[in-house]
Amino acid sequence: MKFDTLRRSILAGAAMAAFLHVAPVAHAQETGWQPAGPVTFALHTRPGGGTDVFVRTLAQSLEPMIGQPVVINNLPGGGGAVQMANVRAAAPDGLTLGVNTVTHFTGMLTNLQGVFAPDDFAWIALSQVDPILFFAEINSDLNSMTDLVERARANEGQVNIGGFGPVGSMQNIAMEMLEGETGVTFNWVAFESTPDIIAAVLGGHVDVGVANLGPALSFFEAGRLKGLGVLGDERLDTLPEMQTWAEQGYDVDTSWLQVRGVFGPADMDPALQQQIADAIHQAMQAEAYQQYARASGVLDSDFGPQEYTEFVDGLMTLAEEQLQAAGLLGN
Amino acid sequence: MLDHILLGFSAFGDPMIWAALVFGALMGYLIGAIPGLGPSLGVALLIPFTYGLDPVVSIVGLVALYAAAEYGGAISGVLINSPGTAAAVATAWDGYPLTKQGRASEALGVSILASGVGIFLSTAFLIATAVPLSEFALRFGPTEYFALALVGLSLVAGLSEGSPMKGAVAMGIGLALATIGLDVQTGVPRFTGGEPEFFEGLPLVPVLLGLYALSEVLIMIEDGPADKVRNTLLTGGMAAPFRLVGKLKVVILRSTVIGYIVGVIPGAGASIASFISYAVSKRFSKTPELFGKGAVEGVASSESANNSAVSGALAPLLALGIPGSATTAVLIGALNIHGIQPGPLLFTRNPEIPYTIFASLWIGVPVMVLIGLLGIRLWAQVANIPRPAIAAIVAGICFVGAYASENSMFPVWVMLACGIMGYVLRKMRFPLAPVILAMVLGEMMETNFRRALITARGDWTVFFTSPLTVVLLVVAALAFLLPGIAILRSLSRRVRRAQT
Amino acid sequence: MSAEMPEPPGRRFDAEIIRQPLRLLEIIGCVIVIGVFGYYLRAALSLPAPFNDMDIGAGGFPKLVAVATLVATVLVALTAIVKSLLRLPYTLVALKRPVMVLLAMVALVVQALLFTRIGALATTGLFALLTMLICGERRLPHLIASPVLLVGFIYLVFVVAFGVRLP
Repeated sequence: MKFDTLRRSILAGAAMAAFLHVAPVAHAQETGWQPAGPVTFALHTRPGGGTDVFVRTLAQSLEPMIGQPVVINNLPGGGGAVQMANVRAAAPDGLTLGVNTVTHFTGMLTNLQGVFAPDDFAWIALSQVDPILFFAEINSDLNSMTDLVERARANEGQVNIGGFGPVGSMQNIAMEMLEGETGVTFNWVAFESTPDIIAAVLGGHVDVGVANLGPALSFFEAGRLKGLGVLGDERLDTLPEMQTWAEQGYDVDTSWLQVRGVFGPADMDPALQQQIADAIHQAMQAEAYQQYARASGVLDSDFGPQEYTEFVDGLMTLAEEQLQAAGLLGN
Repeated sequence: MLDHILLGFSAFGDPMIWAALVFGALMGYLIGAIPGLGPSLGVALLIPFTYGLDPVVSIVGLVALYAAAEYGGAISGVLINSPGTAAAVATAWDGYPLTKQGRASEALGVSILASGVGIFLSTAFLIATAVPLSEFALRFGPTEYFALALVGLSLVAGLSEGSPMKGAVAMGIGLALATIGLDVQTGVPRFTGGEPEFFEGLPLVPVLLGLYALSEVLIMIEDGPADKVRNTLLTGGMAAPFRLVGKLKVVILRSTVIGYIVGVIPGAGASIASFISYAVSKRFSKTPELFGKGAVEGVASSESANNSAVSGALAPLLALGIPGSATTAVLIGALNIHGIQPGPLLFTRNPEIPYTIFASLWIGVPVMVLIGLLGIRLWAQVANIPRPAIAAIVAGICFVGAYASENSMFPVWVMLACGIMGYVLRKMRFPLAPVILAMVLGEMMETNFRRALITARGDWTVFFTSPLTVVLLVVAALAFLLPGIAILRSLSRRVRRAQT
Repeated sequence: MSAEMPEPPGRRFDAEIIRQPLRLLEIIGCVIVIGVFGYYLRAALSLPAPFNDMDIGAGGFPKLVAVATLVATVLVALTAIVKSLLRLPYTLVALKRPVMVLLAMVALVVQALLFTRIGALATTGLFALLTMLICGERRLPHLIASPVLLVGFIYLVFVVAFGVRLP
């Protein structure tokens, strides 16, 4: 404890008084990955967002392991286009990596079609998977996915579902897969952030909201929201009473998950990719990372280059089918 | 309640908290004053430094930075007509004319004290009303947000100088700029020319930099090195600004209340707060004709409102975990890093966080005011730097600031284009404020209009079902019509004079 | 800079200053705005129709903005034309040092082009000097001191304090 306070004061003092960067302590543990210089993670978001917090937390445990500083390069803009261009142009030496979400894949099929393709990159490691769930205000008549589907069937689709992103976004596609499975239609209302969706559900402006667990968790614990169902193979540890979609009889592909993975430029040596993946998965075992990951409700994944590349292929096929069905593909 | 507030103050037994507070206030002051670095970018840039720190220490530093940056935006607005944030645009309307009259130190003194009073009082509101007001703000749905955006636009129409038609054209330009990018509802790219860089829309900071700061550089180049009015320091030392503010207490109190309430509504934020309270102050002023030509009341109302909007924006964050502004959204990230997820349970689970924030806002006020008042001497000197040097400095900082906002050249080009456009518009006597405000409000207006129609299945009567919406729509209609009536009245007066 | 004044006997032309009646500038400006918004309207019309009949679609709001702005612009232009036909007294707008202003615009564009190529700090210093020259500064100590101080300030604030990675 005493040591902790001391360390804090030293670190803080350094940052405050001299504007110094806190230099990572370089005593490398044994990992196969020995980068020759600082490792840059290019992100498609601004500082302070979910992806940014993920990489910064990971970097804390990764830095001492690889004995090199981790530099975070925030490159927002173009729905990931600026970041992907940066990673694609980099040398495949493992010193420039990117972090991706499902948005990267739906983007490659729609607005960025022809600009980027999965083959432009090496898909190195999957770190987090984050199932999506549907929720309603605590006093709502809707208590389950079945209630939701039945209400939509009775009212000819007049149920408002608020989710993140426009038609064709990750969460919208999940809703469309449910439409395909049940034959009913819903009314998609696009929002630009998860807190906006939660506020709209709490205020009664939409009937049902879509979100990943993390940002919504405290509202469940406070008894303000209730879960209708999670799109996953198993129930969530933190909300054990919420059923999965499959348990309620809706057989929708459960590999449709929000993900955070690490990718790099194409033509990266497979052995290097494996080393990077191992280092990242090892860094995820650190206590600080585990604490963060559990608090934000995400699940860990240990997919290395081979599994992740296969996963990406599957995701692309699934997304393409869904976007095709929704009439959102240009050709 | 009281013991919780004491708990908040007790955190200040730790010298680290003090260090964070002073450091945050200093950085925020600087960030706000530099064109191109607003509070949200400033908080984002500092988040990496808070890693090794205790969560309470880091949140105190970041909140102090947020509040001070919201004030600092006034400095560049007053001195060089280049507001550092959209919320300081209204401050520059009167602040810059005051500088041109040699009264920069007066304008700066009023703005820092009005900001300080704004934060101090609104923090008291925050402690008393954070939870109930945030719950009320949840009633703001798509129709209410649409109507609120319309109120904002109508106020600018009434405030902008010169011909209302030119104001309308300027507003149209701002609205058109806001539509660039991927459509929020359908995801279709609009007016992007197929360039992915435009997908996320035009970033606000470079547009603001270009329209105001860079066009001002071009105007300075026009004026050349010829002499400008020397700014004199306010006589009477440190006490002088206090006497001035004493005369403005009604204006400041009213603007603080308006700023806080508007700030609580998620998404409305400091810029709408400052415009609304500026308009209200003008309406109630005994000398409305001075507004826009150097009225200290204008500076005071805009500044007290945009700073009390900081406390306002913190209310839904602390009470519900819903950010009230772009900066508070970044603050959520800063708390997440420490494993704290703000939500409805924050007050019960981590009471030290909200109550230390309250305490730090209060303790931060004297710190911020002291920094501000000491800074006036320095800034008054800045106002006296020869014009060519100022032009070079502003242009240089604009470039680097625009680049730093996204780490790419795209915002730099946006800023350049807007700079040249701003210069041309100013030469043709088109007002600039409607461009920037329409850009801020345009997306909010369109998105919520369409969201309202979609949730109501295309039924247009949805805009008349909520009493709150109807009230806001009536206010907007009145604000649009009043300037029109004034024009008709002055026309008929002129005709009558011509007849006699 | 400008004043309400009666029709002057003859317009003054010299290299340092151009005076033009505001209404002439307004008409030129309106033509440009009409051109831009005409293009904007065409782009708005070509946007895809909404997915369902509840939404006004991606193009709905831009169409409205375009039409309203075009109407307002035409009104501004008409007012200016009517004023000049009636020979009402007009406002003069002074465009001072037009060559220098144009030069400054060109310098800004070149600065942006060079920004990533020769580095942010070098470009900033170089163009600060150039901007001061264009603005008419001739005192050598000022010309040297200001860019150096500016570059030092930017380095301290952006690179050291905030860790921004400048090219």
